[in-house]
Order: sequence, then structure tokens, then C-alpha cells
Amino acid sequence: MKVSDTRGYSLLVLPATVYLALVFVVPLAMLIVGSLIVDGAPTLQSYTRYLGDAHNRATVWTTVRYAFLSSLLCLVLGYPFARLMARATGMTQALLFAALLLPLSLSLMVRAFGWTILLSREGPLNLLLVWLGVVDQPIRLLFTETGLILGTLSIKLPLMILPIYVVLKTIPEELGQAGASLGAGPVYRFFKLDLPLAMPGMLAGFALVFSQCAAAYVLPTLLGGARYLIMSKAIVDSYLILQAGTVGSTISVLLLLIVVAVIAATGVATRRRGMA
Amino acid sequence: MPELGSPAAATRRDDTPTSHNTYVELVDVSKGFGGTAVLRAFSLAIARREFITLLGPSGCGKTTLLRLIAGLIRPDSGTIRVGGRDLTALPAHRRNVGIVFQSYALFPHLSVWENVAFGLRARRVERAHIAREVDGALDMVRLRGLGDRAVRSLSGGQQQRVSLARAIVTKPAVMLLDEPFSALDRKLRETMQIETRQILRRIGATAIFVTHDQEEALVMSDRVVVMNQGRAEQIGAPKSVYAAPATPFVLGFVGQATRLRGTVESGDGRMMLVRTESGAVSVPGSFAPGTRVLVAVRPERVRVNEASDLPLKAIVRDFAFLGSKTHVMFESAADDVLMAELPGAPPEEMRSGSEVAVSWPVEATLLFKLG
Repeated sequence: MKVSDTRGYSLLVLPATVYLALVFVVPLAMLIVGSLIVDGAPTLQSYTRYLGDAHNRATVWTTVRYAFLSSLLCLVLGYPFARLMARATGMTQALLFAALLLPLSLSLMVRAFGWTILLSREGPLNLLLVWLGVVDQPIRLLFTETGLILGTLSIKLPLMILPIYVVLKTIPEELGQAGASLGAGPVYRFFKLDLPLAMPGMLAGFALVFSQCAAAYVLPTLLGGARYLIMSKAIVDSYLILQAGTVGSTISVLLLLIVVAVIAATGVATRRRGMA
Repeated sequence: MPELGSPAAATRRDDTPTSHNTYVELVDVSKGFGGTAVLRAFSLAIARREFITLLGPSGCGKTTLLRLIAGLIRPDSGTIRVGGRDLTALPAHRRNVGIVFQSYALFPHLSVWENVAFGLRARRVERAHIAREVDGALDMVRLRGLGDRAVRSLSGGQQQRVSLARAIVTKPAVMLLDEPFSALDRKLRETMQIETRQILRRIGATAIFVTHDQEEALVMSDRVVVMNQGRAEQIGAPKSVYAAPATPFVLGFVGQATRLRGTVESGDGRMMLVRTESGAVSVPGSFAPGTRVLVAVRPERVRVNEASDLPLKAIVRDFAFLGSKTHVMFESAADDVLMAELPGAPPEEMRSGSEVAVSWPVEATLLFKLG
């Protein structure tokens, strides 16, 4: 296609561009401006004040920890699944896909409430733990970080698995065979071939899960409980309960910066490997 | 393709390695996939430093054989030995067998240098030694100075060299080459064939080469294994496979030939008269009258309009001047082929449609009994 031919097509992106500008760029600009203007003058005062409070810093830390741990566990659990799926054929692959995608058709609320039952003191998970002898008596899972992350994993795993799967699918089987013929055993191949080759997918999955978890509201509220303080809840509280718009936009921009930083970092890491 | 007949005029001249210099040994190796036998009790002995080619159409089992030797798949039965060591149960990374893949299979996340160093690093070879060996291997494939490049930035021919360097740097006991030139254009392919052959000879490699290109097989090999449906049809030096094909399949797969089907009419115990659709020919042999045979001649042995006892009358269908030689096709029965390859330019009098006398020396006759 010649360059001049694309001009007509480029007009087709106009509606989407206008729409995104209206619903995304404009509100975002308002948010940023709102966090920077106090009493009619531009200042960073709202940021320094928010981060000056130890309680607020704990909230930021909890958010980052929750998103990071969830992404990391998703990665550890998701990679083997993606690899299995990439190698499976026919019926097996179809079943694995169904197992991955069918739960996505359930609403998040339904699944979150399902987890509150699973995690409750009399719930199936506790029964199982007691029956296995892992614990003597039912333990508290609901409204703990462990319970929250368990539930989060079940919901965010597809976001990790799919990008890894897509990357693994593009890696020819012969690379591993070449590695083996050169004398590399399975462990060496895993660390020097399999992992680096899958890295772009793993980084993409990590960025996806991290950004989703950092901004999550429903799951931390339902499974983490009222005392589990994260930024998304702080934003809602500022706007709806405290009616403090400046604080709300400040936290929103901070959250955005954290997520953008992680996405940028994974992007840089991907490019540095020359695999972008 | 005619039915497989028993070899008649042709004799096998195998130059088979005797037991004391056999290096790679396959004994009764069988392999099937999903109930379909791909290799049937295949046996082959290869000498040290020999360059042997597995030649055959797709599906003949040649690539399966290569993968079995590499340890990428396991045989259903049979034994694979290299240097007296039984490899059959060993995983690929313990076999010390180098592979050059059709796709090159270079590691995209590593530089040229790191690709070549991969095998030595995996073997935890000392760093200074790795540097020396990798530089040496890159020198050998004439890629010195490109070590820092990403493999994606290289041309097809260069990638092919990297994959060769990567394999030879580990000094494999056997080099396996799986149609390594098929992705290259004709000119580059010929250069790479010669260069690869020279490099492998210089390092004294024992090489097993897989191709479906008969010309490539003849050019590169010490011996050729012509394979068909999981069996070896013939094993021999390129010259003998071409000059004395053991079966009609080999005749058809390696080189071109005049092929005439006929029936033995009479014989005197030394020569017999065979009636074909293109006329009667006198061939050496002593089959009973009534025997169905295939009479074949390599095209460069065929003569046109030369004095002969029993020439065939043939009508020129078409001819092509190729510079140093002229290809002539004659009219023939549907399943037969009548062709000649004449040195130099076509004779003045040759026209499409003109009738000529076709003959060949008696000793150039290839004869196969048809089942």
C-alpha cells in the first residue's frame, strides 16, 4: 500500500479518537489540574500533605504490595499453564482454553461473593485444610490479605496466561531441540532459553495484572474487608464520603503514576531484550 | 512409477564400512506414528568422517531417522550406536550430536557470538576457552566481526553459517543436517553446499545429511542412501547410485532416464530381444520369454543417428539447447520416456517432428524385472 493510499483510511480513526478524547483525555486533564490547583494557585502541596502522613503511605504501600504479590503469584502459576496450553493439541487444548475463558463469562461480583463463601470460617477451603490436617481448627481467611490474593489469582490469572501463551506459540519447537543438541539439559534450557524467550509475554502479563490489581476496588472491598486500606478505596472515600475532591484527585494521580511506572518499566525491560 | 521389481542388471556396490571402521550404527530401527510405520527395521552403518546423505521424497522417513539419531524422538525398537556407545536410551543433550536445522533455529534473544557460545556455556567450559573456540568457529564460517550482531539482522546465508558454527563449535560426534539449504536461492545454495562440505571435511566431521534434492545429494555425499517408504532402496556412492540404480524407484528418483516398458520376446542366453511400444531393443540378460521388464538408459548415453544394430525409430517431440548440451524429448507411449542428452548444440537437421534413429551402447542398458 502506498503512503498516499492510507490517508483516506486514517480518517476512520477519527470517531474513536474524538470519543477517547472526550471520555478519557479531558477527565484525566481535569483530574491532574484538580490535584495541582489549591485555592486558585498551582502547587504540589496536596501531594506533600498526602504523602506526609504515615497512614497514607501505608495505604500506598499496601496497594503496591497487593498488586505486586498478586502479579508475581499469577506469573508463577500462569507460566506452567500457558506452557501446557501452548504445547497441547486438539481436545486437550480446547479444554484448557475453556477452563481459562469460561469463568470470565461470570460477573466479577458473583465470583467475588463466591469467594466470600469459599473463604468463610465454615467454608469449603477451611474444611479442606482441617481435613488435610494442615490446621487444627478453621482459620480466618476472609478479610485477610491471603484470602484476598487467593481470590484475586482466580480472577486475574487469564490476564497473565493469555499474553504468555501468545508469545510461547510463536517460539518454534526447534529452539529447544537445538539447545538440547548443543548439550543443554532441561534446567539450563529452562533458564537460558524458555524463560528469556517467554519474557515479553511474562512482562506484558505482569503489567496487565499489576495495573488491574492496583486499581481494583470490588475484590479488596469484598475479600479484604473494611480495614484493608488501599488507594482505590481511599479515592472513593475522599470523593463520596469526605467530599474532598482535591485529595481524591491527588490519590488518583499517584495511583496512575505507579501503574504507568510499572508499565513503562516492563516496556523498557522488553525492549532492552530486543524482543519488542 | 513402476512397481518395485527385483534388481536385475544392477548390482549393489556399497563400499559398506567394515565392522572395524563403523562409527555410527543403526540396527533394525523402527518407528511409527499413530499406527503408521515410518521406518521399518532400518539398518545402516556409517564410517568415521564419512559424509552420508539420506535422499528421498517427503514422507520416506529420512527426517524421522535424523530425529532418532539426535534423540529428539525415541525408536519403537532397534539400536542406535555412535562410536560403540549405545545412545538409544540417552536424551538428546547427552548424545553430543550437532544439528543444523532447516529453519536454522537460531536463538533470537542472543547475539551471533552468544548463539555460537551456547553449547560450550551449557557444558560449563572455561571462559577463555569458549572465547577462543567461538572466534575460531566464526572464522571458519567467515563471520568474524559479526559476533555482536543480532541474528535477525543477518541474511539467510549468514544465519545458515551461524547455525553451522554453533553446531561445530561443540565438536559433535556426528553432525546432522536437515535440508539446511532449502530456504536459500539457487546460487547461494550451491555456494553453501561447497562451503559446508569443505568445512565439515576440514574438521573431520561424520555427517548425516537429509535432502529431497537428488542433485544436492550427488554433489555433497560420499555415499547416498536412497529411501522410500521407510526403507533403504539403495546405499552406495553417488556414482554407483546414478550409474547402477538398484530399483526402478532409484532410477526414477536419481537423475533422469529413458524408460521403456516391454516384454521379453526371445533370448540366446546372453542377449534378449525386448518388444517395447517404441520398437524392439536388444538387451543383455536371460529372462524367460514373456517376462515384463523395464529397459532404461541414462540420457547422456543415448545416441542419435549413429550406426547401430537395432536402432529405435523415434520422432523428436521437443528439444532444448542448454549451452554445453542439448536435451531432446522423443514421442513415446504414455508411461514411457524416451530422451537423449547430446553434447553441444543440437544437430543441424534436428526439428520438432523429424524422425531420427535412437540407439545406445549395450553396456549402458539398465534392466529391471517388473513384478
